[in-house]
Amino acid sequence: MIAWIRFGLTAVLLLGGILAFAAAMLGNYRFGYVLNRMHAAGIGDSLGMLLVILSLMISVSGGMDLLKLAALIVFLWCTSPVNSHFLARIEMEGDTEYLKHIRRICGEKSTELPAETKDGDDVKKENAKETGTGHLPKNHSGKGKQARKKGKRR
Amino acid sequence: MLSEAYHTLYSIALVFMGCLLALALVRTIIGPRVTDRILGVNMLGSLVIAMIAILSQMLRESYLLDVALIYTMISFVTVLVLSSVYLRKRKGRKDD
Repeated sequence: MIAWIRFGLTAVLLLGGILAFAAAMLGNYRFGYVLNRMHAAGIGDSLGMLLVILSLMISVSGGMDLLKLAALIVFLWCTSPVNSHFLARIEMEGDTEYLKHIRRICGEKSTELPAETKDGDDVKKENAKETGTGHLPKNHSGKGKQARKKGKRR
Repeated sequence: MLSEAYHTLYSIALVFMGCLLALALVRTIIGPRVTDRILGVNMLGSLVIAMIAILSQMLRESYLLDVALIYTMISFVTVLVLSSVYLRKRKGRKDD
């Protein structure tokens, strides 16, 4: 009887984990941009792995296997945020592609962002000329006036 | 009876995860940007880790868990190395 209860618990947790992985994959296809997709992939990396490995820990018998599964989940939970951090860093330090996305979300009224949408590289070059560096985070803080000017000119 | 039930459960789980693996592979191939592809590889890796862990229970082979641990580390290092190489390439282009 207890064995069957263990089986039921294992089945529920395993199917829940697969559901979490399926949700991650659905988000991976439905979202339109990398940073959103990263959010969706995090579900599968943390919740899905937790549920699957928890179900295996319930059904396992040996003590050493239990320890190995615990090490697996601890290691995955430590490395997944680092991976996400590096991916986001690539995305933000690369080009001005993310500005298009923020602009699409904030709508046309937003004046905090550069008004350019098509030629993002030109914006970057201008910023590089004026501020000395082409680094992106300065766009957000100091470029409000510039963006407004540019919008009027257009 | 019970072992058959476990076998069926693990088989169903593995089949579903195989379908998700194929979807992750498609996402990796069609991803328009480099970060999409790296993210797809990362998801593929985590799915494979879960599959190996399930398989170790299904086949009663304890050493497959060691394989899963090593796979986790290699998947982590893959993303780290790819992103650092890509960042260095971008910086070199900026200097030019």
